[in-house]
Amino acid sequence: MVSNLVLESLISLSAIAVMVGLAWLIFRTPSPVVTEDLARERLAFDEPDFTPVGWLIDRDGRAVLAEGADGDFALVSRLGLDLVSRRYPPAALKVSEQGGVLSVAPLDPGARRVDLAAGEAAQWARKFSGAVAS
Amino acid sequence: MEFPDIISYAVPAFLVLVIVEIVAVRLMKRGRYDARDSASSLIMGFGSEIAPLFGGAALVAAAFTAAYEFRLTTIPNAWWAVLLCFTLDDLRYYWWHRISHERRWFWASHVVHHSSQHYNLTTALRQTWTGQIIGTILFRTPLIFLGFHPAMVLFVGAINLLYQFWIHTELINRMGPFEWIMNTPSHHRVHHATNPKYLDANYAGTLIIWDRIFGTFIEEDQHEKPRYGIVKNLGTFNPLVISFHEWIGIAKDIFKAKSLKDVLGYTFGPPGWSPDGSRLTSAMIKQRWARVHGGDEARSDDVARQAPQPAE
Repeated sequence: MVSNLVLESLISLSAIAVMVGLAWLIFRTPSPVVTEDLARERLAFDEPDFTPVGWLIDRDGRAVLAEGADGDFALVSRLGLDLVSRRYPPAALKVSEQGGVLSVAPLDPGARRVDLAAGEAAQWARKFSGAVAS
Repeated sequence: MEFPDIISYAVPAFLVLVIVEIVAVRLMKRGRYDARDSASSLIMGFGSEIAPLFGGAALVAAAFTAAYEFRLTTIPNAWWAVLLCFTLDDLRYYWWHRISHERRWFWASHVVHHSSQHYNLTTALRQTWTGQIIGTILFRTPLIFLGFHPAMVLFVGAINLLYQFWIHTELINRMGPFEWIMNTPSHHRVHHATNPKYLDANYAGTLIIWDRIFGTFIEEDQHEKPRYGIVKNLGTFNPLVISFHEWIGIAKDIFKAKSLKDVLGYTFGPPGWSPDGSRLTSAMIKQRWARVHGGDEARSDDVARQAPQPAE
């Protein structure tokens, strides 16, 4: 029974490799460069009542951090061919800055840490200095 | 009457159909594939076949055996009984599926299936690893208690699951009168969409009539392209995060809850519930969209048309 299970698993994994390999061969597309326009469009759909008043754009196009008129922040980052957005009050983010790179670590389990390399990184880190992560 | 394990027989067909779809999507330029997303979906599907070995299968077997032992009557294994069982099981599926969207305990398992921003045949295989251990079996047990043989109940459930494979595609548009009764790619695209007007709709497995009867049917609007995923899309392709993120979220919320009411709300309330209303349920998301865009008339693709799209 165990050997059958192993054999079936190997067959399934081989089939997965074939499907993923073919998808990779046919749809090899680079991830999008996250720009203000793309982030704005994504936020207009995901967070329609979020009004951005400032933008921190990663120079490598990995992510954009937006400051909202209501004091919230929105993070738009890329995932494969798509974008992912999250809106947070400052206290829901762990933010640090080193060498011009702002690291933004959301506390929700479905998100991941994002690094933004930008000239104004230190200035943006100060916006979070009073916030207490909860 | 024998009830074969049709899912095992169907695996080669899954492979062939996915390959056909990948090529067709490329040629017809309709639909999208991302190898990383597909890899996550397929690993989730593979894991969902292994996961029951860690207790779920035993739990199902015990519940089914007990229910059949105390059955009200014995329904023969005849063709008419299979048809009746299939129809009742499809109704069972509708309610299980609806509750899986309306209650966070079940959503924590079902969210896996919706966590891709793509809609193709590999999305169909993005299945939960925790479904069998959280009590969803309670929805099926009544059929066995009524007198249907457990093997028949499993068989019709497998047919239902198989039927739903092919409807996860953007290649097929509308299907005429077939759409009146049966669940179709168009109906199910609505179900996977995060556009506010499409939220909480089309829970059917095979027969769309249940949504029409219970008031949850929404037709795909040709002017509003579905945007797939969940209202807070995941920032990773990691199968472990996909599988457990909502469970971890529940645990964290319970840990900081201030009362039993909060614990119950976080666990069994609608997804997005919070004591202070600081998070959004799908009803609140619909209200917010209407507030910002002016009622039902506003369409979420109006926003999309005004700005460039990411590379596909």
